[in-house]
Amino acid sequence: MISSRKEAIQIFLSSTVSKLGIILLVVLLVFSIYALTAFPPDYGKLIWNNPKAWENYPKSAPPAWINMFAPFKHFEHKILTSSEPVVFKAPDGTTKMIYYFDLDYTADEFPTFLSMSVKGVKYWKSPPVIAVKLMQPNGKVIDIMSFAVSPPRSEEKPPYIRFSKEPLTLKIDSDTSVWRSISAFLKENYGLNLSPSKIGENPERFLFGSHEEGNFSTPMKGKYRFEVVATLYDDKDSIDKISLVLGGSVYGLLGTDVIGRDIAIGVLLGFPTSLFIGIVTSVIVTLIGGLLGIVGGYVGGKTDEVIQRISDVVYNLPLLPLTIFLIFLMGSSIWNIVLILIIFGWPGLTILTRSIALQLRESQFIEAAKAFGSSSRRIIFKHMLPQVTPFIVAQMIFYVPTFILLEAALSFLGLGDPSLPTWGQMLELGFRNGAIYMGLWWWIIPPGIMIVLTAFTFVLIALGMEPVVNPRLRRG
Amino acid sequence: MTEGEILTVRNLFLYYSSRGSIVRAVDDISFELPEKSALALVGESGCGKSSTAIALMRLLPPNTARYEGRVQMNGLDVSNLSEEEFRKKVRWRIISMVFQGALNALNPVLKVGFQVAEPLIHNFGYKKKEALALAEKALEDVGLPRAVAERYPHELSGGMKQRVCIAMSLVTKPKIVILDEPTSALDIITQANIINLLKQLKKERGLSYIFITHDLALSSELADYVAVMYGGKIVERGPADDLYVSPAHPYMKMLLNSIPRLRQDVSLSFIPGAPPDLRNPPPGCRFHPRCPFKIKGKCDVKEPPVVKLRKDHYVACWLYEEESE
Amino acid sequence: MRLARALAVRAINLLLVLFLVLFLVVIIIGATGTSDKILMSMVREEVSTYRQVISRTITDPEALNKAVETYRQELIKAYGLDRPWYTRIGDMLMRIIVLDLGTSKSLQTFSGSNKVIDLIMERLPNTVLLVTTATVLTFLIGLFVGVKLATAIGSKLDRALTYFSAISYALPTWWTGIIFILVFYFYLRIFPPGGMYSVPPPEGEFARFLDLLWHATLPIIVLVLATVGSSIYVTRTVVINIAQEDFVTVARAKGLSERIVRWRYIARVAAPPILTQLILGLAGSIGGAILTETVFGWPGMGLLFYQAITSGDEALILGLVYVFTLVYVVARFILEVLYVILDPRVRI
Repeated sequence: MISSRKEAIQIFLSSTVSKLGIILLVVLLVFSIYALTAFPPDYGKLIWNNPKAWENYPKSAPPAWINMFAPFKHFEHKILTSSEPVVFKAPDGTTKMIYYFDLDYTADEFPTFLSMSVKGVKYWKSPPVIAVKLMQPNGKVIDIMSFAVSPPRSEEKPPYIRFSKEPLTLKIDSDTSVWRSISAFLKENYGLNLSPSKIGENPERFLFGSHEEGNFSTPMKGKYRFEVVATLYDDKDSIDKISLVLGGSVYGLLGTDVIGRDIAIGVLLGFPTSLFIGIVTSVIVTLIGGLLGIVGGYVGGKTDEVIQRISDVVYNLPLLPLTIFLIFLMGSSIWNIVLILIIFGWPGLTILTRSIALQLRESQFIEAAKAFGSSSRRIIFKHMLPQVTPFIVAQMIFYVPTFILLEAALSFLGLGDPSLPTWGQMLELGFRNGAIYMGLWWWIIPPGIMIVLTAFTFVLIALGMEPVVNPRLRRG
Repeated sequence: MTEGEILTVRNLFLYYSSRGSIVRAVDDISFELPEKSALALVGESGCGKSSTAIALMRLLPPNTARYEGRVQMNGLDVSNLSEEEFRKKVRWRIISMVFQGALNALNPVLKVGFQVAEPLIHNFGYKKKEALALAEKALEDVGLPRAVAERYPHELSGGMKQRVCIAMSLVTKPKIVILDEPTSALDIITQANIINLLKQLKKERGLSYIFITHDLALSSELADYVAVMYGGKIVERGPADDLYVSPAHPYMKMLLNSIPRLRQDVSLSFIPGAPPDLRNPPPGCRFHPRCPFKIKGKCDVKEPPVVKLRKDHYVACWLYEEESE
Repeated sequence: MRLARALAVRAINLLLVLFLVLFLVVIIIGATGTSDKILMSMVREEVSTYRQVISRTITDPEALNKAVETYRQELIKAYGLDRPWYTRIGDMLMRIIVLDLGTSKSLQTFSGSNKVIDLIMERLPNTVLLVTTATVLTFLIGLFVGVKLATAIGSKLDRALTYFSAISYALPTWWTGIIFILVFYFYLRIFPPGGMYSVPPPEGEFARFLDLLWHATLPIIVLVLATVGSSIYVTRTVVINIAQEDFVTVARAKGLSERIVRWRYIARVAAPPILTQLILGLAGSIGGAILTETVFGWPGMGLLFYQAITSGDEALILGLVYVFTLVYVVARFILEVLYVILDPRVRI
């Protein structure tokens, strides 16, 4: 028997296993809290599952850091944002906002596309005009394009609002006027005669290519600067945000999946979800199962019989096929999954606590309590519960990884809740799209490792609890 | 070493290591067991009695820190025997043991008769049939029906299991039987039956017993000789009659004094203090912190020598230093 | 006789489980209208067969249609589709028990049958092969390593085992499988990415057998890896517990050799609880089978289940749920028989 909570905690903390487990748990919690605070709650539905939000990202791209190990430097996909624009009033009465975008070019390949994103334009009289210039490391400047926001429609009244819900994406590299500008630039600076359509085959070559080293086949490395000048015709006009996107073949910490989603974000979002599923299901199962077990064990008689029968039968059911069947019929929302896991999960605990309760019932101090005239309720809560608690807690902790793994397995089979990004789902998408056979390791390995790590954390803690519960396993 | 002794123990040590410290369970004890007699090894819980039995049977646990001593059984010096030799020549041949608490002493998945017969089959070369027949006879001898041999341990009561263990310890006809608290887990009536059984067997077969017990009354009934253990040491040993009538060691004196007398109007006395921590025993005489007769400067400094008081009666106490021969 | 009684109790318990599952499943599919769909598709099947047969004798299109329609109505009445679902429960139960499980709407067996029962029967042996091999291996490894380790508690190896078991438990079978394919197929090209035989399968009995082994290696390793950790850990824990029991000391005291003590007093007594673990892990094995077969494309019942889910094939899913439960109940019963034989204490 455990003599005190203090002793229990002492034994628990004495093993390296528990200490490691606790450290990992803290790490998990930190990441979860970060994920919950850094992203809005409907991020899953609105952005994660919305392919349009990711259209600017490269698809199935490896992480950016492989450049550290590869001799060939891939172009890292970049979304350039500028610092505060320089605002001043021009002599002609218009307001000019100049945005500077800096780019340090180190790659051995060209970007796959170039686009500009404009968000939140508001104007009162004439629509603003946006001009883009590129300053190359060798000092040359290319006037790339000039773009005018759409004029007011007939029914519209000022202020005229544009691109507030969905930003405007201008594909700079597919704009024929851009090709013409580049053609003119090349003629003026290098005396080259290339038609705009020829340039249009791969405009990035000519924007970023080196003229010296073999005719624009390799990039000119160095510091580039984009200068975007917005001309506003009224003092009250405004633009919320402008950004430039350079398409790359590698991106981010963990690369992207087939839709272009940042896998690092997906992995991050998975933390709170798995912890939630594991812990919530575990706690509820423990409460239900534990209570039923104690009551059945202590009260005995018909109640015990009934509880035993039911838990026996449910316990014997093959879990996965039935779970699959039920979710298939009920639909795959997260609450259904939790509910089904609870329905199948409680008997294990009931059986365990019942046997402990039976043992305790015969013990002397319970008999003494009965002799004092304590009510059943009091005996159960004040006397039996503290003795049973270590077992229940240990079992509960052990259940957390079980449920996390179950949910991951269900998601992998395609039965997960589509609105919540979970690691299992990321793997399901990968599997379905043949990521294994294509060697997209950055998609396959990280979510799996996170599942393993999370489950591992709780298994360690559960193992640390074992010597507390079973004195024979205490070392020394 | 000496004629007429079936067991001679000299300077026996058994230390365990536990959580970084060493427990001196058996700390240099010496005693002898004459043929066909019963020796009671008495003492409080944790004084080292059971460890002595373990030491004699060489059932050393994995955390044994020190094990040495000279032990002679039935004329054979067993101290230098290898593990294999000890197992084949000594265990259950010369000496057997009935463990404390028979509840768990039997293998739950084997039939009881087979367990009794086992040593006969493996070490004595009997065929299974013969061995089982002998086992059934042994069960009968301890007052159990022969049919018990076909039962499994969980089908028997505590008293029956204890008898089985006794039968098991006798079936190979050893010379010495150690009984570790043979009756403490049983009700009084079964206790009485077992004790009578033991007495009877001793008479019939000329067995020698070592009883390990904390029950003074029990030991006075069964024992010819008594050895009193305290703090891992034997503080007094000698013939039972002698010891109970004129105890020499203060501990023994106070023990006998503290037995409540039902029909006398004597106030209850007890020995103040607690038994020593075998990891960190007090210097000098182990008993000195609780001894009302302690000699300052002697008892708390040096360990008392073993002194012979009368024939076969020895005591380890500074009070008797002058009386040594 | 006590043996027989204990077994009978367990048999009844398991049959109860089977029946309960069956009952629940039938009610659920009835209530959700799925049973209607399944039965309607069976009707359609039979009607089209009928139409083919009968169109040889009746050529007049109007008469033909009338005959077919009459037949269809008869079928609907026979199947009870004109009544609400809860009146059909008994029927449904009987149907499933005799394994008349309808037809799959998306899949066919090698021989061209699309009856659910044929599909399942075709795939069942493959699953049994995979799972049984893996389970036996896990058990044996767990036994040997666990017993070895129990005698070395607290040592470095023991600690390493604790971590290994923890990791093994935390590893999702299916993810391990995916990683294995990535490493051993994509990068190292040593093993095939899935399936049971090469396409086309090689000639000759022995070559075919080797081909099978080659394909089965990765899935079996994955299945074993997922469960061996807990198998070793449980064996070790049970053995440690038992090794500290009094009767083991007594056995040594009796002069029995270490070998006898190890096998007759420790291993033999440890067998029932270890077997219990196996029994408990049985349900997990089924889940493991489903997932592993899906990852490796192993043509067993598990993969069939996955295919059924992705194509929403109700009849197939229903049939599989039942057969899975049936197989599970049978396997479990066999193990429980073993348990009662091994442990006399449970023979009431």
